[in-house]
Amino acid sequence: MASSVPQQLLRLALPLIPKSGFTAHSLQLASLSLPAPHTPPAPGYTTHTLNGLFPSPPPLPYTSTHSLSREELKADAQGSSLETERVGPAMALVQEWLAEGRRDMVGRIREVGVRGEAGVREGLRQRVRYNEPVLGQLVQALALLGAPTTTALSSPSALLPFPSPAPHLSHVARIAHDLAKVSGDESQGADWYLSRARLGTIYGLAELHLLSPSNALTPSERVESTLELVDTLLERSRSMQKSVEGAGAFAEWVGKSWMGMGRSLGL
Amino acid sequence: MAMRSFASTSTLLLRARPCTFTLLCRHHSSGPPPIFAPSGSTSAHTEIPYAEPNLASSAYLPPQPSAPPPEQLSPEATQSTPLDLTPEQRRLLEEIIRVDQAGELGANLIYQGQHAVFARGKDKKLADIVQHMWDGEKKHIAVFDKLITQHDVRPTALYPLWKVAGFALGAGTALLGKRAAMACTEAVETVIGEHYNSQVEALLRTFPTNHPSIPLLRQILQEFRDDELEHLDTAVENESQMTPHHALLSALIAAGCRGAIGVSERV
Ligand SMILES: [Fe+2]
Ligand SMILES: [Fe+2]
Repeated sequence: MASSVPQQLLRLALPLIPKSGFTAHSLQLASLSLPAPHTPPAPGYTTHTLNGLFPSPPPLPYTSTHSLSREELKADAQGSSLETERVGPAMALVQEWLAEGRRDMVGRIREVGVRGEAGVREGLRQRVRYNEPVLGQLVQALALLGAPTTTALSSPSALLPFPSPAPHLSHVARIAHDLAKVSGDESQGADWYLSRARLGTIYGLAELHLLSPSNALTPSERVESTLELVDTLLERSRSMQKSVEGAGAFAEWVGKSWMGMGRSLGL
Repeated sequence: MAMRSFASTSTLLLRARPCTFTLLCRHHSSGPPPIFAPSGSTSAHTEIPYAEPNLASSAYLPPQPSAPPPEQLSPEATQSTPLDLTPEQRRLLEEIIRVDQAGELGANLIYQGQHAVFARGKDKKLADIVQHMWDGEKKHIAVFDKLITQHDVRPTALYPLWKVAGFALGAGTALLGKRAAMACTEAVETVIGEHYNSQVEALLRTFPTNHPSIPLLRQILQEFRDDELEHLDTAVENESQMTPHHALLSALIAAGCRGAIGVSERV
């Protein structure tokens, strides 16, 4: 299937992330591997080209603290303003990396051929392991998710003094939905929401654990301890959900977990 | 099972005055009561009926053990969702399935509420008529439960609310008496019948896809539309239009249904 140049570029940049990070630089390096006739001369696509391929508004202070002067507006339109460090390219790379993580997780569940709770466990483990090679850059990547993609003109939320939690919620919710779908979850009505809330909470807590600073541990030790946590969370939430009196406790657990995650995200 | 077209039924209704109508027509819906599978339940906590051969819905229902093996549809038609839809088509498909499942949930609960009241009264025949219509709704909800999973559609977030509202409407109108209950059925089934009809047209208009699940969905919507109009006939035969303040009651209920439809398509 023919894919667009930005799409090809993102896919080529994925293997470069462990070394060059979720940065425009990874994309610049990747551009050198684009097939002809798209291959740019070394050192690859310029920042302006990348900003054009993955558009985003100028950085926040620049737009919201004062209105632009005539000169600044002109410079901005020409793409030659001094402030060229924009989040668009890096953010697109993060999104592609997250999408690849879900494909990898779904592929693993199908490959092993397990469904139900066993499928969920397999998928969660795979998704946790997927983080290992980029563990050092992960905090930066997830922080990028909360950066404004719109200017204050089109969405007042860009003016909020803290990052928007919506993109992080949707990253976790998508993982939960894919897990439920591929493991053959057929719950209906309110249960549809509950099963996804449970899986999202488990992955959210696991991710948080993975990111918590623990200098004593190597990346693979951190992953191992997170996998243990996943098993504990699966077990605990399942027994809560099964018992009738557990329904309230389950809701409380989901609520408290997310409040905790919110605090850790700096909200 | 009568397979009348929507148009002919509505003209019939317009022409017939209630008193002559009751004399001319059958007492209630034709057809033997459905047989239910020994296990499984729907999202409305009802039994799942066995498939009736020759009906489109049979693709989603368990076959009767004694029945000859059903004509096999391709698994694609009943187990996968088209991936080549435009965003517009995808939204339409999801809205149709989400709102219809919500509507069938409401219908099940309305009849359950009416039955709860009439089963305690002296008129056993009336309880049977309601039971017969409720049994029809069990087939509808069972099929939409399958469609929700197959097409990966998020169910309405207001699931618990529609359960309470449906039961209250059913039990409430039944407490007002037989004619009020039938007026409720008449109003609800009119709106649902019209709604199915417009969905069939919308599918024909906007879906030039080769995926076999779409023609199957259209046939199912047509089958259910005809079922609903049979319920509508039953209500009119049972003097729905002789309830005091019939016009007001049906206008209120129909407005409520249209509001619920508008909300459930999106939420
Ligand atoms: Fe129905
Ligand atoms: Fe009906």
